[in-house]
Amino acid sequence: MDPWTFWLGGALALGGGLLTVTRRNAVASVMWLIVAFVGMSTLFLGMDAGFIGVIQVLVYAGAIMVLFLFVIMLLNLTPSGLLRIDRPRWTTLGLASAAAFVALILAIVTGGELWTAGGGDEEAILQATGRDTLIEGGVLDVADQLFNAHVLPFEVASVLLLVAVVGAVALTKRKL
Amino acid sequence: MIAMDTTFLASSPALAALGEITTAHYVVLSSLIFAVGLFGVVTRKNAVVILMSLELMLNGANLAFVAFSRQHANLQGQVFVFFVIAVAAAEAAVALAIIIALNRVKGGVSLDDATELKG
Repeated sequence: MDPWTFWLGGALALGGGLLTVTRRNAVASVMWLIVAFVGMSTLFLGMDAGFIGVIQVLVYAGAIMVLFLFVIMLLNLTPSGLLRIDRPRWTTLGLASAAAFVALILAIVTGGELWTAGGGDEEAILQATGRDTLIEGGVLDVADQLFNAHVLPFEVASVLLLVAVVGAVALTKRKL
Repeated sequence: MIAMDTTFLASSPALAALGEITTAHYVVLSSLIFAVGLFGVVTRKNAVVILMSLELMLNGANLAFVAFSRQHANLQGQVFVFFVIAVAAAEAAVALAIIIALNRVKGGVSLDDATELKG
C-alpha cells in the first residue's frame, strides 16, 4: 500500500469534511464536500478499489453534489438569511459525541487482533488469507460479484431508486 | 496501482513510521471522518448542510468497508459500498424534495422552524 495515497487522501477527506461542517455558507460547504469526496476517492484507489474510487467521483462528487447545488439555488435564500439560520449551537454536545465515537473505535482497534497482528499490513494480509496478491476491485471483479452472487439485491436497489424518483416528484409537485 | 518510490521514507525513523499503512490506519481515519460528520449533524441548523454531513458519515463507513474488504481479501465489502452509494443517492433525492417542501411551507430551511411533531 502506498503511504502517500493514505496521507494525501486522508488530509483531503478530513480537511474537506471539517471545512464542510464549519462553513456558514451552504455553497462553500458543497465545494468543500467535493474536495472531501475527491480525497475519499484517492483513498479507495490507494486500496486498489478502482471501481468504487471511480463511482465515488462520478456519482458523489458529480451527480449528488450538483443536485445539492441545484436545490440551494432553487431555495433562493438570501446570503444574510443563509447566515442567520446557520449560527452553530450545541457545539459542546457535538464535540463530546464525536470524541466519544472516536475514543470507542480507538479502544476497539487498539485492544483487538488488528493492532497486535501488525495492524494488517500487506504481508500480514497475504499470510492470513493465503494468497499471492491482494484483491483488486476492478470493474470486472465487482461486476462478477454483483451479477452472480448479488443479483437480487441489485434489482431491489433499482426498484428503490425508482421509488425515490416517484417520491421526490410527489413531494415537490404542487398539483399532481 | 499508483506506484511511487518510497524508499526515502526508511532513511529516518520518524519518516519510517509514516511509511507503513495498515488496515488499522484506515479504520481510525474512517472513524475520524464519521465523527466530523456526526459533529456537523448535531451542531448545524441548515437542513441542507445536515444532509451533507450525513453523506460524510456514510463515506466514513464506506472507507471501513473497503479497508476490511482488503484485509479479508473478500470483494463483498466493495459490493456493499456500491449498495450504500445507491441508497445514499435515493436518500439525497427524497431528502432534498422534503427540504424544498419545507421551504415552501416555512419559508426557510432551518430545522428549528419545523416543530409540528414536538409534543
